[in-house]
Amino acid sequence: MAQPQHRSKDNLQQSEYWMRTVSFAGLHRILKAVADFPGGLRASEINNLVLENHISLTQRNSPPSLTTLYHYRNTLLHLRALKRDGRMLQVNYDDPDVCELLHQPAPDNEDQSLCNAAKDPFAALALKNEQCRSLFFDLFMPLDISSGTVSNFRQKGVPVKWTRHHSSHAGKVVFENNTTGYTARCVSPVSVTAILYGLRYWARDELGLIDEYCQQAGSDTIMFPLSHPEPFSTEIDSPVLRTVRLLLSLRTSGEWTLFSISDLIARCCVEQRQPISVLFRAIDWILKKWPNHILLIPTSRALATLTATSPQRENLELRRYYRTSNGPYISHIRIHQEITIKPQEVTNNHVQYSEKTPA
Amino acid sequence: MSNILKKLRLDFNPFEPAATGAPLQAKLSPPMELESRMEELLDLHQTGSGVKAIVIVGEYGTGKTCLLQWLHSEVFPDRQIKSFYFDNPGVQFYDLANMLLRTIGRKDFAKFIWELAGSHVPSHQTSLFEKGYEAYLSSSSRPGRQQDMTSPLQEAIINADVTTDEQIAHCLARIVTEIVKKPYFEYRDFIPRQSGSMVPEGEEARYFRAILKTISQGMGAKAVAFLIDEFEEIGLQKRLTRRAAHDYLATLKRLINLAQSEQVDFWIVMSMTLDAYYTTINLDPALGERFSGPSEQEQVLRIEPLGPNDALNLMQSRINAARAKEMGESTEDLFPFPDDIVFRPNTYSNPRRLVKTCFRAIAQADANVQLPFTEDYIHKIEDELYPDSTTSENMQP
Repeated sequence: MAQPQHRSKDNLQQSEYWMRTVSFAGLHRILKAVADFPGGLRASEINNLVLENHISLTQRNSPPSLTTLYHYRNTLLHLRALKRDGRMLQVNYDDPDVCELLHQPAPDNEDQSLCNAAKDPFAALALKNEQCRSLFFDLFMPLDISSGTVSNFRQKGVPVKWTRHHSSHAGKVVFENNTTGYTARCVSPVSVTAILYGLRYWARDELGLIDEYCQQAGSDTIMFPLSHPEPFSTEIDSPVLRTVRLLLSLRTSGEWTLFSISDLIARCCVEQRQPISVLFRAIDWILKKWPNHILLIPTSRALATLTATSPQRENLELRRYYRTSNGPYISHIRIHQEITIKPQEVTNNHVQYSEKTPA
Repeated sequence: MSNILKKLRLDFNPFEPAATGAPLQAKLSPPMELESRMEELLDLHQTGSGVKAIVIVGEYGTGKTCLLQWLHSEVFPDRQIKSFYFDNPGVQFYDLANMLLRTIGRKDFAKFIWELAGSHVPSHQTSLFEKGYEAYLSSSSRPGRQQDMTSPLQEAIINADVTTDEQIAHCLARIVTEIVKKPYFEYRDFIPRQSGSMVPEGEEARYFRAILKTISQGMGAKAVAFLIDEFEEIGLQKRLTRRAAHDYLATLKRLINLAQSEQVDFWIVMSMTLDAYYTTINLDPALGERFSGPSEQEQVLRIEPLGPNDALNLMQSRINAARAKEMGESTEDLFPFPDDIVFRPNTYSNPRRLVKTCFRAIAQADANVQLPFTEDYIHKIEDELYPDSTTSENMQP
């Protein structure tokens, strides 16, 4: 069994914590804009290009500050999407993942999220960066496997939990891989900013490499690798139906089976490397097709977020609850034994549902 | 009686529109299996010693409130247990003391203390108690007399074994002697460190225990029971501070610790949702151990979904209560509902949904309605009541 290792992320130089909360859709837009200048642009020219062309970087759509522009340029440079040639910054055509990104259309200014086809090339750039790997992505890997490629990370990565510990002096964040016994700590604010709000945010919200949830209020947060980015299509796709089948196979012999959403996330998402949204769409599917044979069991929002001390923490703790639009937070579901899904209901991703059975 | 009710052979609509808590006119009747499991749990606890903490766990609408009210109105009185029903106790420990004493009322509580202490008053002070409670109160209201009357009462409270603590005995004595000046409780009376507070600082638990002993002995009850409904519904809309969250759980733990006192026979029966139960025991494992005791089965009563027969029994008991007997109608059928279950599974399995659907089926019936109600008519009502389940999609996490 692997011996636990302890490493403080704060032994590194402060300059190595360059990762920030940036929009990858914004990075993509800047990269495409710079690509129009084969000779490259100076930093100030890139700033002007962004401002004059109203390239959107932030969710507020407001003109970015100089600091924001610096972090976007810096991220593209560190990810080697841009390279420096004297004072000029040029697109790094030597990297096939950068070329792949240039082939993909940049998202519109109104679109806050990266298109699925651009996620893996950007993820590959992040995974090729040694600092990104050592600070975050390697935490997920078994001892003898590198996180260097997207497929390695998606297929071989294992869950990592993180906890915030509060002390009288400062808070620290501890990451722990239960499979390898590896633990890492972030104590300084800059390391927390770069890893928790930079790399973790990229992996979860921008690149679809991981998803995460809290098992219980006030407990550890589990991050787990995903086998594919979160599907944006609203059509029912096969991962959703596979999840429906798995969920139905977990029923007991009684008339009703009670499931905790949190347990279902562990079983259908963490173990299967599926985004939580896939499980929720599977529940949507059952609700739509068998509305009378499923019961959503709400919980008290106040209790669900009892230990949350910030809106961000509240949002994190609420990720383990299913919710329909404007509906309450659902902690458990009851599923009837009569619900069935037949193999022939899926044909080339076109789903034909059987009509619901009479009540 | 309206014509339509006459046609439905009912005196009144036996189902409630909100379907919350116990019915107003029909007899409270939990499903037979649930009733027997509850009685078994109570028997188990009543014969043994130790913590008498029982948790009723179930989803919304399964009848947790109804079960608590059944305990409150039928079961505990039969067992000579004085029960108090609390709907959402609040965050702080003294919220419970406040709710409890305001339920009883200051005047009645003061009388319990006075009567308990009366037989233990020092011999040289007996004249104060000989003329009765009202005379005592009018004496205590005279200028300058209040202090004179507090001391002997305080001594009598200690002699009556309500408490051994002089400060707590003094606070209880003040409740009696100050009653003319202030015949009601105020919230601040229960907050330690407040001016004029009845609760000694740091002695909340012992004070509370003394209150329970007073109630138990004053009412001639074998035990006192708290029935706490919707424990998870904290009465604050805004986010709790870390301290408030701690207080919230500590309140429950301290209450259960009180139950461990050998001197007070004290029951706590709480109802909460599944998520609240697991969240509570996860946040405070020590509290979870107090719930779970030797085994979860011995402390936790889970309310399962109704089966078709349970649903029919529930409907039957409600309809029987409203059946127009003077018209010589049979009490064996479900008319105006058909005798076979025609509700959808998620309706009949949840008592609240079932009762609400039945209410609307009767309330919306008009002269043209086909009797007994058809399956289509019932399903139309179900669709009107619960349209969301067929149209909603999840919010992304």
